[in-house]
Amino acid sequence: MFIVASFNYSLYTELAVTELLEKGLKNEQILAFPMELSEEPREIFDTIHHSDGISMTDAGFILGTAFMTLGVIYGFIWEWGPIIWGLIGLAAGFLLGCLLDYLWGKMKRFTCRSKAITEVIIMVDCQENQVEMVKKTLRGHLALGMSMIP
Amino acid sequence: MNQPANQIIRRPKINMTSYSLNSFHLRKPWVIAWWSLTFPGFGHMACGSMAKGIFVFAGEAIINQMAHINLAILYSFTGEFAKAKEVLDTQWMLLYCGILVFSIWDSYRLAVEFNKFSVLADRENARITPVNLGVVSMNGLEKRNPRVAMAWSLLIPGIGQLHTAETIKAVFLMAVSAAVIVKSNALIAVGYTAVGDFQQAKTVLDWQLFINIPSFYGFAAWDAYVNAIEINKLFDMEQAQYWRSQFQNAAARKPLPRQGG
Repeated sequence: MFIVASFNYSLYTELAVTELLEKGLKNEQILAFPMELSEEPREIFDTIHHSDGISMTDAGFILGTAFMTLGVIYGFIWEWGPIIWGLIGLAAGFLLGCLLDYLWGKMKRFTCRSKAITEVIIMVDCQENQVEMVKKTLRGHLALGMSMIP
Repeated sequence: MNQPANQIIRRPKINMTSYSLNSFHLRKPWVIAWWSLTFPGFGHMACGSMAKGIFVFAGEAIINQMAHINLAILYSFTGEFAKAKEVLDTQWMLLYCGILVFSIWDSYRLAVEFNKFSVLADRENARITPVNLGVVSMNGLEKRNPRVAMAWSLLIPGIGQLHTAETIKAVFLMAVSAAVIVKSNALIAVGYTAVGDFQQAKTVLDWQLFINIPSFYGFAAWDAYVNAIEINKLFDMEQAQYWRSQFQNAAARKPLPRQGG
């Protein structure tokens, strides 16, 4: 009897597998497959790999800081003063930057991955009478999905 | 991977002490250069070169303060060019150019080099130890929400770095920004702004110091966000090593045995 479950990289996954070992399963009854997520080819000189797949914030922070500085400076002469104009600058710059990054990403490589990505597959080979215990353990440690092969 | 115990790790990916963590990961060189432009030293800190970063930062802070660079920027941007010239100390100002250009150039170059280190470290894929247990402190690879780290640093610059367990960077950023926020009377100005007395808010501020504050907030928030993500990726990387080395036993029974083996 094989039970296959999908997980994220997480301490819960490790806890699930070690708990199965503690409950008497042997090491060779458990197989783990860390999935290699497909990544775009590496360009060393101009890229950062964000775990969420797209770089949504670099431009936001850059424009946010720049506009906040400008807001503070022109707050020197404008009515509401530097605090309010600085905050307005930060928010406006951040939103504008994120928007630009989003549009740029959409144009270039916004192949939207669905939010739930399986990162690890755990396969457990167990006896008929252990099935419920194994399933309960895996489900109790945030398994994303499960399947059985008789 | 799976090296014998006596083999040295030539291209490590990560060094974790019980209170801090540093790693090679890919960075956009022009983004690093930008942080050096907002405040010399930030670019180096973003690359993980804290020692160099603090030194460059201190140099810039002293020279800027002596030359009144920030005031000159303020007057120039608001069209009062005569005042800008008057307020600048030419001797200190010339020193400033050197340190600014150096910090931009050197941090850009570092980012390019460290990107190569990062790719080589990924290829060597040396085993990572996921925890470091010290006597007075302990640290481990954890999953964090990058937006939470960012939000903390928007509250007080550096406190998000405390969340991501980069203690030295956190202490430095928190101390420096607390000093600048207090000495520039920013919080008094916030009080006046809150009750609508904008004129009083403008007069109470020390503008030379106050203009530093946007770069502190921007950098600290960005850095905390990026590092939370990078530590999450190190967690994944380490756990994948563990799965491969411990739970891919060739003797394990497979659901579809190979025919005629």
